[in-house]
Amino acid sequence: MQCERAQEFFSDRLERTLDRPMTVALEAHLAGCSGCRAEMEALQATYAALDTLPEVEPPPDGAWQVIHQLRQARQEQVAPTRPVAAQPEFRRQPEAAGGWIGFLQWLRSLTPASAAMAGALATLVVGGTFLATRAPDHERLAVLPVPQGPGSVTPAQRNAQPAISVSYGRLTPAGQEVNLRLTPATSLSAAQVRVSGGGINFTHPVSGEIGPSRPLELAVPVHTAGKSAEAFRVTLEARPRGYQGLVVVPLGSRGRSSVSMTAVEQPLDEILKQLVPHLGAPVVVDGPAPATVSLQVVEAEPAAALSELATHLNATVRLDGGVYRLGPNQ
Amino acid sequence: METLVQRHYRTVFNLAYRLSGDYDDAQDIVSEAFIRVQNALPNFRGDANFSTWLYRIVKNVFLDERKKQRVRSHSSLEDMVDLEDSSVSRQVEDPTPGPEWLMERNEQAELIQRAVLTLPKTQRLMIGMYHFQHRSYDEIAEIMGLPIGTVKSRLNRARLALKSKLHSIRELLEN
Repeated sequence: MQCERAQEFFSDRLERTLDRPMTVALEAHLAGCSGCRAEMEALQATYAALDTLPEVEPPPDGAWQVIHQLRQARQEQVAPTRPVAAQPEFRRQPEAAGGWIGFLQWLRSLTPASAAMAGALATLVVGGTFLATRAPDHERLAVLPVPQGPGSVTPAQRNAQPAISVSYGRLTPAGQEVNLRLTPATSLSAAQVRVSGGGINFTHPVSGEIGPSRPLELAVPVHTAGKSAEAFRVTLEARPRGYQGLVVVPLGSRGRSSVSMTAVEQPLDEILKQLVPHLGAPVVVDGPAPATVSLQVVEAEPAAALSELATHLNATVRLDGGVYRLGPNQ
Repeated sequence: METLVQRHYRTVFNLAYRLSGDYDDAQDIVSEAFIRVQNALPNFRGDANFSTWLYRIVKNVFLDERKKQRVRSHSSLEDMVDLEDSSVSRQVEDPTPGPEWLMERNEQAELIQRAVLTLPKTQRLMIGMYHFQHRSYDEIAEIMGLPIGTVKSRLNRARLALKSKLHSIRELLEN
């Protein structure tokens, strides 16, 4: 047997798939050919090296990232983006002293036609990682980037996010007003703000700029009957950068020292609504967030449970003026 | 669909990483593969083993990815770089992730991974499926859509190429 012919059978020999006569012939050749023996040993070492390459550890949330993308793809197939609805006729109201604009006052100002359209520009939650809102191009919302890891949000972007303070306002026949104050760190030329969720769906125009010394204040009417918490999304259309956030407020206190929670692919706002009565403080989630989350905490302090949730979302959490704030990872 | 991801993600990721040598590229390959699986699932007749069908999709994604990306030149470690009055060995950027994502536990694994990345894409696929996933020649032939004889000969060629490459790397390091 020639060397070139012998080497064709090296792999079969190592894999023990050679028949008996060929095995004998090959072994006889190897016994008398040091060159082929060396080649055989080198190939054997290559096999050993390849077969013992260790398994790599995938990213801990890699599978969830894929699942989120799959859901997003499904949603895009089922609910293609809708055409932009005709803009309601908003008559801009003069601001009251101190910049306070009451929701009921604004609502009374709408014409019947525009009041009916007020809910037309609903925030469309498109699964996965983005909240997609339809807005005219000249007012297209700049969406905060989804946290992808350290360094994904620049300090300028972080500073441009409004700080949202939450307080409880006056009682209403149906429940309670929740006052929101949006104070951006930089001046924003605001067009409108939308609040949706918990049976609320309104769009409120904003005249002029808002900024550190000129916050935007809203009174959100919340139905409280039978509820321990409520969640609503706040979408601010502004230039140069808009804002999206989720606000979850407790409507009662459970006051337990520890919580246990198992959530499998539940909406984020539902998970937070379970948690905030124990926290005893509102939670604001800055920017887009996954529509659903899976989480399990056992006998954890409420703040620790919130911290666990933040880690799961690759977000940071901090207590800011009595409000827990989840934001993109710094 | 989510159950399928949970069940197969780890093995698909491992193959994708060995094929691409890059953490992020591997995740991209995995994501794209499962999206294609989701889209094609209604057409899966069940006459083929699901795993085989899945890895056929992974193969296609990898081959498509290679077409999209710019060509990465895989220079030999033996290449010399000419300077004005001397020449030095070409310095190869470590393709493995940084310490915070360190995955190769030993130097040999790193060398093998680098060597695998120098193979043509089809050989790399076959090496991955045979040696990393321990698939049979029959399965690989079915996944690749090639006759079994072709699979065997290409795998042999890949192993011989790796053998030479690893030998060269070891010699270079010893010197």
